Amino acid sequence: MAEITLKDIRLSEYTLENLEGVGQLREEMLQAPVQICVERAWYITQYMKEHNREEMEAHPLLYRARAVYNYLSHKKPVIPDKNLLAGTTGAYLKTAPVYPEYIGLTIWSELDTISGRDKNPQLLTREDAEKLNFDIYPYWIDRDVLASTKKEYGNIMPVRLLEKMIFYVSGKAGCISHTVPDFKRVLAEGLESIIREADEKAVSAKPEEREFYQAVSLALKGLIRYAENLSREAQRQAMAETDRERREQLLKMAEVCSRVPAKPAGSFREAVNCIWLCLIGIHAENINMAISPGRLDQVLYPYYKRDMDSGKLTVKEALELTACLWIKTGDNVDLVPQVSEELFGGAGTAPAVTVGGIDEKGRDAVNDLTYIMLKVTELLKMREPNMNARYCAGVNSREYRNRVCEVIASTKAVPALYNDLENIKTLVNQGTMEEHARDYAVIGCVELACAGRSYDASSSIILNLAAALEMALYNGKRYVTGDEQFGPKTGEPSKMKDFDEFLEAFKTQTAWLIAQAVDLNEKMAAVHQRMLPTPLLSALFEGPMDKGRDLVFGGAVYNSSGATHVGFADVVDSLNAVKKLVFEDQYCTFEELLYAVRSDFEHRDTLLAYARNKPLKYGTWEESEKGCSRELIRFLYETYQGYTNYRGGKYRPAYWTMTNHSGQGKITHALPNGRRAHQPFASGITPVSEAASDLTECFRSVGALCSLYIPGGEALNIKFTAIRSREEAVLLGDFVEAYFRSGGQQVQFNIMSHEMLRDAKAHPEKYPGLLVRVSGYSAYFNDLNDSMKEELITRTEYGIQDGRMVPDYA
Amino acid sequence: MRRTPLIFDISMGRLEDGEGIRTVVFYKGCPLRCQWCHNPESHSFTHDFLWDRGKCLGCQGCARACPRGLITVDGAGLHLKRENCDACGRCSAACPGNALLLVGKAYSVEELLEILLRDRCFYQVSGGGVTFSGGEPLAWPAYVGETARGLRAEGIPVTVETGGYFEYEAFRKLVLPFVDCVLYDLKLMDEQEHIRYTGVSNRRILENFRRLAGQRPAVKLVPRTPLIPGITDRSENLEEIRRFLAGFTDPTDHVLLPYNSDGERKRALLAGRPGTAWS
Repeated sequence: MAEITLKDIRLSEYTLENLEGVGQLREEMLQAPVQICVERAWYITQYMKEHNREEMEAHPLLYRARAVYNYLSHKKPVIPDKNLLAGTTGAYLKTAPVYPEYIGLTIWSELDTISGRDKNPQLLTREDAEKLNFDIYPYWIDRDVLASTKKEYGNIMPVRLLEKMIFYVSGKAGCISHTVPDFKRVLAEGLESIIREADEKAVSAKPEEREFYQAVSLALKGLIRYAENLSREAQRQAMAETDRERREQLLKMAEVCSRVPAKPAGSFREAVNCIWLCLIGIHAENINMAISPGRLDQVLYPYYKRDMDSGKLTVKEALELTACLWIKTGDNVDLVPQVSEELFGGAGTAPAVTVGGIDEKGRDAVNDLTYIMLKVTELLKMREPNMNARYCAGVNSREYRNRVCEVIASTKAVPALYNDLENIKTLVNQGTMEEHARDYAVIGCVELACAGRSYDASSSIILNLAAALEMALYNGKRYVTGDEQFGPKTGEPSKMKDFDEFLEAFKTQTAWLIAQAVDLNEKMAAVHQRMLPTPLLSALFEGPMDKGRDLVFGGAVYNSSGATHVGFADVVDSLNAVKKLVFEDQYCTFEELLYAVRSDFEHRDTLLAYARNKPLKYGTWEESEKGCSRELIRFLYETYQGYTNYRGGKYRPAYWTMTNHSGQGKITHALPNGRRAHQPFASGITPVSEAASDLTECFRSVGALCSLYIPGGEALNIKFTAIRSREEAVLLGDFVEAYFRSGGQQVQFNIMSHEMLRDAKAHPEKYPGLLVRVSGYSAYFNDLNDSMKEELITRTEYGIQDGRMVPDYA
Repeated sequence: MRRTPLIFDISMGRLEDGEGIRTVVFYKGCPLRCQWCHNPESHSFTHDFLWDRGKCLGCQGCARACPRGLITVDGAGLHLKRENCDACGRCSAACPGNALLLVGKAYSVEELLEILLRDRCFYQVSGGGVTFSGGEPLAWPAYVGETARGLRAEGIPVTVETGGYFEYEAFRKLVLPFVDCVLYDLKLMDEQEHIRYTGVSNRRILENFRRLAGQRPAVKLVPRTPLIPGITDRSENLEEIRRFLAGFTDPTDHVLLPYNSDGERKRALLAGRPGTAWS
């Protein structure tokens, strides 16, 4: 527990202008074009091509480590701007690295067009395009995760469903990621200490464990080589530098990289740079999706405190170094093919930083660094890192709570808020030790991890619940795929006697779809184990070094797989609509309802109005008492928890959607709740737009879902028109606190009006860098596609002056 | 007259009408007829119907649903024979577009308390509570008093908004002991003007205010004046109100409320009173 020594927790005297160079670094990073970088793909592929496939498959750990070593030790040391921290994810200021092991091949047909496309172009040089086309992609054509899975298991149903894109997304095709590493050990001891341990253990270990330790040792040495190369490069540039101040910065950088990450961090600056270099190392091995730095205000605090106490560091310097790290975390984005751009565009890589909350012993963990990180977030207003603030009512101070709300008011979007009481209870219920649960951090969007201890692969499955609903409506088929039979034949709804029979059919289809997604996840996991072990990431975790086992083999202290859901609110409302229209009111027959849904409610205005206005709506008290929401949450929880994954952990349901609610909505036909074809679904765990006119009722209905059944995390989006004063920020805090008391786990805000967002859509040039919350992470409004923009515009909006829903007159 | 009042709205998560996050209960029925009233559906003590022509899909659902066949919808509008209507509400339940709304619902005190306690943690966190508004809540001293007593027992603060036209003794005995704050509207000081714009004399209102201000132990009393352009916002009127208040309360407590124009829209929806055609 730390004492707050800052006289002003708002740090009001600091601005973007008076922090050295930060404003310029921010501007440069925001303006920088995304450049596709093939360096990693080149060195990894080159190594693999030189070696015999059978041999590699027999010793995947060693070969993976050698490939990663090959890349890291050759990786070009680049110093692209005046950031105080050394190291870049790719060879440019802002890069999209290529991971051909995963979905990197999806841009193969776009090599000529990707640089010039209208929306979010990613620049590729002629030379690099040729490397991809002739040297890199041909090797992977039958070797990436999906191709390997198909080769091994054939074109099985779970694969067919994945390739249709309208049932579920399988995270494993695209990543080993979505996790929070442990930086405490590397900071305190340095990588050399971990290497020593690995080398010692390798001597006496059993053969399969020996390979793991050898792999760890080699991969970590690769990262040290990279740091050494950076150090030499900084030294070289310093010699040629005429500006005295800049030369000193470069010399300092050279000195830092000659020490970390090999040796223990001796200062706050070294600690911050060490974490950044480790993230680069992790991304050399694993794709840049939601590798989350975790509780940096806790991890970095001892180094901050020591330097402050000894007078080596000032608050201003701490702000500058933190800002440098924040800007660096946005130096990489995902490689995005056109089709993903249309459906899911605008996504960042969601590196989640978590601040505040309580410590392992249950004491207030908020410290000076927490406020420094909040201040940097407030000043930068950038998409990365994805900022999350934990709040433990009764332990954390009201000043802290209100300060977080002020930052939300001024960034209009971040941080997201997390309820310690519910989240810790939920993790303990999943078998986590209480003190480990108290040390939770957010992964990527909103998922919960015991930082550095649990490997949760939290985006293993993204399941479209509307797919299961449609299969219940169409006897195992989907509207858009016509006569193709997918799910079991659960019967023609028109012959069903009561609502329970339909609900059973829906549950059968849901359980079937989950079984397919889980089956595919397990099969792809086996491919990962054969191809893509993670010795470098494993070394930065608690568990693998003790067990002698890689993360993908279950090395972490805790294990789970996450499955998130798209379309929750629309499906709940649709179930309620079927119940009301067909069975309770007998307003129409099931056949008539289905006919209307099939024809997208064309010429069925009254039925459409009835379906939209009369049934119970998720987000209201009555629904949570008598509707289907709580039953569905519980059903999904019980279904997933029935599965144990390849690492011995349980599957955990979650409710966050990134931009998938817009993307999946676009390819899903009309639903019984009156949602028209191709419209976006409601996001995350959020009620359908304008279903909940009373904000407190909305909060209570989400809280009533019971957090124990949502172990994977949830994203609730709430939009307020404007917050204009500190007093209003306190009211925001009050709403959040009461919502947390009623059982809520998470909430995130957009502070913007219908009019302002419409104006931003019409005149993007007036709103450069407008930050918005999508579902779980932030995005720049201008990067989003039109459908996602519309979803944001039409979200329920409340006024903080009166608490009323603001009507959308457009 | 009814034994239990009708309530036309229970609105949760409100930040106006008192401290913190509140639930506001709107009672139907008011002895005043202020010309500018922004809740015209609160005037009558009995049920009302609001009909929004723009939302009507012309499906005749309401006409079919009425068990007594009192409704017809045609090009001229919706016609309802109110004299035989017992406000069963089937018409409004059957209206797909929510164009036809039955306004006014009776709750037992227990039912109402259950609803008001739902937001308990929002009140606790923010220092909020329940506000009784209307219409004129103090037209129902026994009912409002019993509800307020139930809330007091749960530690939830109660605010009453009143136009001041009520039976003081009944209020003092039944309601006052359980109320934390009274928001008291003073509109016009000139009696003739008051009669002209609100339909009643202001004598009783001013007398009740005097008595309430002198009440010991004192209850928090906040005088308010809605600023109606050209009517209540004239400087002579405001000056006179201030002079009147100077005798009782700290004049800085006087709250001036901006004009709420929502009444115009709602008057159009109420349009013809029941029994005649809306068109």
